[in-house]
Amino acid sequence: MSLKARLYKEFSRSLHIARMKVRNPLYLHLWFSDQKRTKIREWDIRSLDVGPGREYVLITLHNSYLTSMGGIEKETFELVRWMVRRFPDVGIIVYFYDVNEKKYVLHHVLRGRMQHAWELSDTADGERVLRSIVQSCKVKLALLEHLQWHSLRYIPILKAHRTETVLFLHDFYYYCPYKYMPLPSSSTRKEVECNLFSKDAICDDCAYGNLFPNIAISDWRHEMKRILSDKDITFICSSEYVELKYRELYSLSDMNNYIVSYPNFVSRIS
Amino acid sequence: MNIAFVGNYERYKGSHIFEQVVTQLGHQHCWFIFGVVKDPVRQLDGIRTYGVIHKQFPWGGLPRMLRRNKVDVALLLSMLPESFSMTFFETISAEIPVIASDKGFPAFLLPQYPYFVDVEKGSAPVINAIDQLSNSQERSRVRKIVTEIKQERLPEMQQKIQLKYNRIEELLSRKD
Repeated sequence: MSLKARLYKEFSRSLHIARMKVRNPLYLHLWFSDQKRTKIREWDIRSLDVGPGREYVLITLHNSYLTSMGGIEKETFELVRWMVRRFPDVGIIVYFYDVNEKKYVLHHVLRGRMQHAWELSDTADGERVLRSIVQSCKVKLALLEHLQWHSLRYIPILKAHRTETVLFLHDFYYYCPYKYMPLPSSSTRKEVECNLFSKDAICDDCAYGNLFPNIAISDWRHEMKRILSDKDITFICSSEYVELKYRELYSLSDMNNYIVSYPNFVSRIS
Repeated sequence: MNIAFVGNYERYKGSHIFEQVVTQLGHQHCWFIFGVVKDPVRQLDGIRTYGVIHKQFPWGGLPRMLRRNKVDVALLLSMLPESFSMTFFETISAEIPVIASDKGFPAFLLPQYPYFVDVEKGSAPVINAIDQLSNSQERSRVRKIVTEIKQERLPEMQQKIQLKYNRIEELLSRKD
């Protein structure tokens, strides 16, 4: 990316952040605390708990909910704000991957104040981090907003710790993760096209798959079907269309634990 | 007409189709892009000569931006099915006629809306729809449809926003 483009991107991001800070004191506080992240190693997570017996909600996300301008990130910020108001004594742990910094980050928020803003070292492993979190504090509820940059294997870990789990189906990542990956080089970008849902016949053998040999799509879908059929998990779909597509794509029959709840588009249009 | 491409300006959102449309219709219309363009220097190079204006909007700022710039028609040309499409409903709330992809939730929810197009066929259906909307009578007819959608469907949709919070509340209140 050219210098001009980089400057432009940074300017746009700064403008977005400045507008949010003016409008929202919680955002202002979280953003400033996030600027002063402490670098930690995985074993430091053991000091996450600030009080014995306290209950926690864990939120996983694929990007920073404070600096990215996407809809899911906005939803996550709204969720944190709602949690702070509705359950002030419940600790909130937001575990996200900062795409710009290429680091896993942990935020611990209690009563609207940031307790910890931690940035994990480069060697941190997503699954080990999650295991450390659930071992160090009582996570009552896990809200998996997105698992991109994270792992499907979080779910069995949470299950083993008897943590209630909610998986948000915001998009079709859980059908095809390829489309959400950054392509290996810009030259290949032009060569691959994806027609998700229109050419299902070639989907198992798509051009994207060749770019990501580490993800065997058949294994991925096998694991996903097991997860999506799990009666102990609550699934929140962002629309009836998403629910219908997952039902068709994975031949799901009983979907009593699926809820359709739209993103908060009202606050965006008010 | 003032025509705006809304949302992230990326290939899978149909940026290449917009490029073809602008190149073919040229100076007949005023063109805008409202959304994030990752690399504006490179991405907008081919269409800059047609006076394309690029602006970015903050969370919630799209309806105001559309109105302020007197946009007549919005374009949402996503190649991949949209799971919800906040941008579509924000455009509807601004009461602007929109030409949108026939893939995804908007087309699923509003099958009667007349301006969903098959973007897989390239720029032709989009240009055809723009031609039809160039007629001011047709534009006011569609604007009326959009206003009806805003008044009848959006309030009903708002009720579904709360459901996830209710469920989370129920799970958190559950005793171990």
